[in-house]
Amino acid sequence: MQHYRSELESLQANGSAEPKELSALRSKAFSRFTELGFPTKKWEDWQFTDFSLFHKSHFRMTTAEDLQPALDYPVEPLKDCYLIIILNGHFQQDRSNVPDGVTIRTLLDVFMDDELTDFLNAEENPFVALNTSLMNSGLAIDIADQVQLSRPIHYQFITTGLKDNIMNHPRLLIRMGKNSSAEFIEHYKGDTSSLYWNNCVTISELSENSILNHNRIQEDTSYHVGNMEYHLQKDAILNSTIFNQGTELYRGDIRINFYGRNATAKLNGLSLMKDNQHMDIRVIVDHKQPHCNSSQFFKYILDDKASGVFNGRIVVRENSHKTDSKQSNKNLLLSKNASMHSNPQLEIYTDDVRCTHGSSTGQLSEDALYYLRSRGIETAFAQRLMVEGFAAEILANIKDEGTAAYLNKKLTSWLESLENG
Amino acid sequence: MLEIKNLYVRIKDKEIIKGVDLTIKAGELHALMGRNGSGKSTLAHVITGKDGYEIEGDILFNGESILDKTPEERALDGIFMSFQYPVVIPGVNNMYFLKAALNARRKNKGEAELDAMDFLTLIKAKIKQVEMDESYLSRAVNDGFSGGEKKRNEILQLLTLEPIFAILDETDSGLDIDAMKVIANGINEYRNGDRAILAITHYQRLLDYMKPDMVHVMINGKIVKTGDIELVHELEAKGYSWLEN
Repeated sequence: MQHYRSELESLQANGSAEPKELSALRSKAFSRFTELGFPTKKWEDWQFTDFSLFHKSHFRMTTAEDLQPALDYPVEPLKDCYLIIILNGHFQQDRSNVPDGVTIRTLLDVFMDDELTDFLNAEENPFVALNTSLMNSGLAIDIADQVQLSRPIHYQFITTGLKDNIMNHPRLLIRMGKNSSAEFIEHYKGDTSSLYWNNCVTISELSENSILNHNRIQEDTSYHVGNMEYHLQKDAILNSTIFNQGTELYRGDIRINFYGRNATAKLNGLSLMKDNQHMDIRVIVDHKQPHCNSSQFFKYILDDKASGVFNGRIVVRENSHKTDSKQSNKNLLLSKNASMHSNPQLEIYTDDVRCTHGSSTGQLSEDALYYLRSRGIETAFAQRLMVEGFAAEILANIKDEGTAAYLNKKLTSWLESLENG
Repeated sequence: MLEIKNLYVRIKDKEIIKGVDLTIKAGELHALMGRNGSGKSTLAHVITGKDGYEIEGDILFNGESILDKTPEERALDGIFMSFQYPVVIPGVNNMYFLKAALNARRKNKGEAELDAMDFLTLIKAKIKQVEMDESYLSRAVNDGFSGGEKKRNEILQLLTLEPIFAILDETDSGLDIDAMKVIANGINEYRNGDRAILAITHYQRLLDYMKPDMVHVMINGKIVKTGDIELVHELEAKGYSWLEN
């Protein structure tokens, strides 16, 4: 903890441009973080993940000097996208472009506008408290009322070319105005061989009758903690795909809050894991209002000694009648040494709702494999078809062509890495 | 074409097939009848190469033993089975699967692989023959198909892959009369003097459409009687018990 405190103190000492209020907020959030501490095995929703490395490893905050080695990174936008680039925690305004109707501000601006405070209430999640305290990069992106974007926005957060162990605490706000619609690709990519840790908080606010297609592509190689909150007002529609691949340690907390009637949230996830990788996802879908629909469909594919955790909870509050909520978690183990903990839960406090949940973990079906082989398809190719087919049930839901093509390519190269490894 | 010689098959110490000899020549259609559990499906799976059996005796295909071959090698040699219970393969596109299977076979025969356009032309013609809607091509293999649609999809594969020897494992069960006619027409379309069929069935009806050259009755792991179509009618009238012991 002392290490994190000294990082905070140097941030406060160097951040002379920051208003006093922000500095006070950082201190308050840090107190909350120290009260909570890092999760231990005794914390019910965190018990299958070892967070001790956050005590053991020393990460320093990025500085202006860390930008230099990243400047030559070949940033490749997905097909037909607007671009927002952050390199080693530094927003690259001159290399980013967004259309009319979309405003980007750094969070410092937002804080000065006094809009951020709403989100900084007493927090139960220590990683969110730490993010608030050390928040060093991140943006507020506003899509104005009535604006319908014809092309996706591709936000790229790149960690590259570093020698020290660094950490970033980015905070991203996506605010969809009334009747607006947008496709937003939130993309994390890291290729540096030193340890690094991105502790992210993303809050998406969907105003009345807005549509957000959100694809979160997470391919950091080291440590990544992601908090995703979605707030849906009346008639809002969310389609979200959470893709994770190649991360040594990943923890994702996803919360969907229904604040208005007749809203719909569709949440899909695919995690590709090998070696000793560990990925832990917790989802809470909170039906606070009647007449809302939600679905969750999460899949994990695990090889080698990889281990996965899925904790999904549907909460249907009193008076949230006519809720229709589904949850499914399916996991494919490609190795005898891979493991998966899956725990779907329902908490229902009202009548007249339709809720289903289910979970299954297993190996490739012998019957299906035999069927394909009996048609002359050789074993390795048949297995690959089946794994691709397993993943396709998630990837087929992605609306944006560029994202779908990118993730299919990722899946193919991941499968090739298994065959060659 | 196919010679089964003194075949014994065990699964975990349980003897299922107890000495079967059977020879099927090019151009012939043989029917294999018998009660559930008599060993008919096991015989089919042993020919196509499913794992998990302990086997004595031999199976020759075009004069060569196939017992050491994998299922895919046997398929590439030209052996095909229409499954009694076609397997659902989630997420694997039916057309992509059919194309992969056909191209594996073409490659093995030294023929050029078909590209997507040529394959589409071919498959659209084939799917008409089994009176299936084209939408089934873009769905996952057998996923959400009704019993009849699954069987049509098996015959679609038969017509597309054009194997030399086809086993039809209860392809007629669970079909209504119209569907049975479509399936029978598909099978008759497939037949010619260079190909052979082993049809496992419980019913007379499909055999009336297909006119088998020989009919065998299997009881308790053995072929106890062989005859022509008259034997089918006799079984229809008398059942199987007169053949026991």
